[in-house]
Amino acid sequence: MGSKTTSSTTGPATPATGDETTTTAIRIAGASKVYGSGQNALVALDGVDLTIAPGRFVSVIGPSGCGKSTLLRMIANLERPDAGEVEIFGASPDAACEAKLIGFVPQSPALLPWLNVLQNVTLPHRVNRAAERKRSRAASASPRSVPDLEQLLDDVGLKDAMHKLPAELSGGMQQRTAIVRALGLQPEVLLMDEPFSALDEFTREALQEQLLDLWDEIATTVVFVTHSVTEAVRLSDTVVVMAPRPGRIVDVVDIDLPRPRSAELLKTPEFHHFEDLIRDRLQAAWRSPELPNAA
Amino acid sequence: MMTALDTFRRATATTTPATALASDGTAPTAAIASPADAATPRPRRLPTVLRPSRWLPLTVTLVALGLLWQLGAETMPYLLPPLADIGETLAGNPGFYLANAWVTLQESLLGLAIAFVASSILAIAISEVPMVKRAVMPIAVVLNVTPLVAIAPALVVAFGFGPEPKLIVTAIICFFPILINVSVGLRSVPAAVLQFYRTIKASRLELLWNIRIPNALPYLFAALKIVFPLSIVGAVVAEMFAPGASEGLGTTISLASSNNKLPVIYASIFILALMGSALLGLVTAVERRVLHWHDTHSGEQK
Ligand SMILES: Nc1ncnc2c1ncn2[C@@H]1O[C@H](COP(=O)(O)OP(=O)(O)OP(=O)(O)O)[C@@H](O)[C@H]1O
Ligand SMILES: [Mg+2]
Repeated sequence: MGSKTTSSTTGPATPATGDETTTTAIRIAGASKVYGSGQNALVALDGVDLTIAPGRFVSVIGPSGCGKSTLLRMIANLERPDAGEVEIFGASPDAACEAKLIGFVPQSPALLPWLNVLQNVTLPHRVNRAAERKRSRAASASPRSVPDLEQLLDDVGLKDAMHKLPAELSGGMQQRTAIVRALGLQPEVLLMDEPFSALDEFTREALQEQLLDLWDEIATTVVFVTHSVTEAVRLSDTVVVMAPRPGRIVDVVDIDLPRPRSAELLKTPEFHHFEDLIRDRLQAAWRSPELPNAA
Repeated sequence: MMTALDTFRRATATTTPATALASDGTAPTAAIASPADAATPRPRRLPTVLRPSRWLPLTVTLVALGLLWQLGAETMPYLLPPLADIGETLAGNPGFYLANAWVTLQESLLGLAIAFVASSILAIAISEVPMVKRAVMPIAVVLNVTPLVAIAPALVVAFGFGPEPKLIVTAIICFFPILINVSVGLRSVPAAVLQFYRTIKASRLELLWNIRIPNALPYLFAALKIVFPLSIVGAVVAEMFAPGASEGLGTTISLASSNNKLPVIYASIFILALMGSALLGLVTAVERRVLHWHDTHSGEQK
């Protein structure tokens, strides 16, 4: 809760106060999504409610097929809810994208193979230039300075790789590039879909640490989809537990651990307590999949 | 592999244990290769093209083919001219062949250029507007399966003996491969890339210019490798059906065949083959430079 102590001094994400619509970063109300129809209809999301305050780091965890990616895509305006609504700083996801308020990190790095690392992270700034004006008009945003992308790449250890092509990078370096590409936009909302799932344990932990450092500086709202309980507990202020068939939220757990969360913290009993808690909830969700027990 | 390595270790262990130790860390292939090195001191590395393993197979094939040809020429003089005769014709009148080759080359390149511009524009239209695809694609397919040799005479009748029918035939033959490949290339951007750029609302034009077109380049070059040699086929076929036309290697061939001048026919064919190979080489070289980022090259160069 009151755990995030070091952030929100430098970042632009601090919302303009006084305007009541801006006190939530993301508001999802009764959102449903059905794929297919008739016999083949698959309820990917069923009446999902979720409210996320600005500057929070929220992880979404749940068994495969429970609709985590669908939920994320819905916030990113890549999918429209069949029922219910999604708001980002009081505006529609479409308007949020229009103003470049959203930074999206897909599961695969999705870099352009003909551009080097630096070009890959600068291209997003060269498209949709009208966004700047819309952004300053958008409910939340304070004007942002053009970020120093080279500095950002340096921060994540990509200084020497700046002029290399994606094919010349390791998987971890590619994923870091994708994160810088999204963070370089200084998004109000950073959406990440299992960004580290293809990486080995060691790289994964290093990137988690870098992500936390960056987040401390940029202080943006994060929705982070993951399969890993440890990862969710380490990174998040709040962990959202989902269950499948139909896809729904079964639990919301606040992680009351101090920040910064070093590697040491992972060994403490407090940390294990939260890990066990989440694991229990996940198992409960898995055992009684057909019971729509609360959101 | 293990046995070879073991033998090597035993062999080297007594004399130079240090080498044996070092070889543990290196790849087994290196270890296996080493004894041979010891026997015959390794010659300085030749450039790849000069290594016998590179040029010898082709040379052997060429010599064999040449011998077969000569044999054929002696037994069936009315089917195959002796190689010496072909060489003589070429050497005797190089200006004539060069001038005609130049005409054919111009026709094929111009026809190709027309096809390139038209099919690229159409490919973009098809990829951006599904309606255009539905309207145009069936016709393009029909055009592609229509035998070109059947169209050529009709075009000659319609457009006379000038350059027009040649350009049209060449353009038609080159059109379809470019159209198909480029429109596939424009549409095969990975979904995750599109998703990212959609979340920042890149416009269609921005997507097209920054992502779709570069993504289509490997597909375009694949098409060009087919189409550059094909353009010569188109030009020659059209020339052969317009025998009144004064120039071009196709014309030269059809005139020579009515006069039974076998060496001239084969000399022309030889030049056409050379021209096609040169164009193919040119495209490949340009592709290497433009698509240095593309995987197929790291694969090919292995
Ligand atoms: N485009 C689509 N068309 C049809 N069904 C889909 C589509 N996208 C997702 N689904 C279905 O919706 C359900 C939820 O999918 P989603 O990708 O959101 O799951 P997930 O929680 O992200 O799973 P994972 O952890 O495996 O990534 C799945 O059953 C999936 O089969
Ligand atoms: Mg998913």
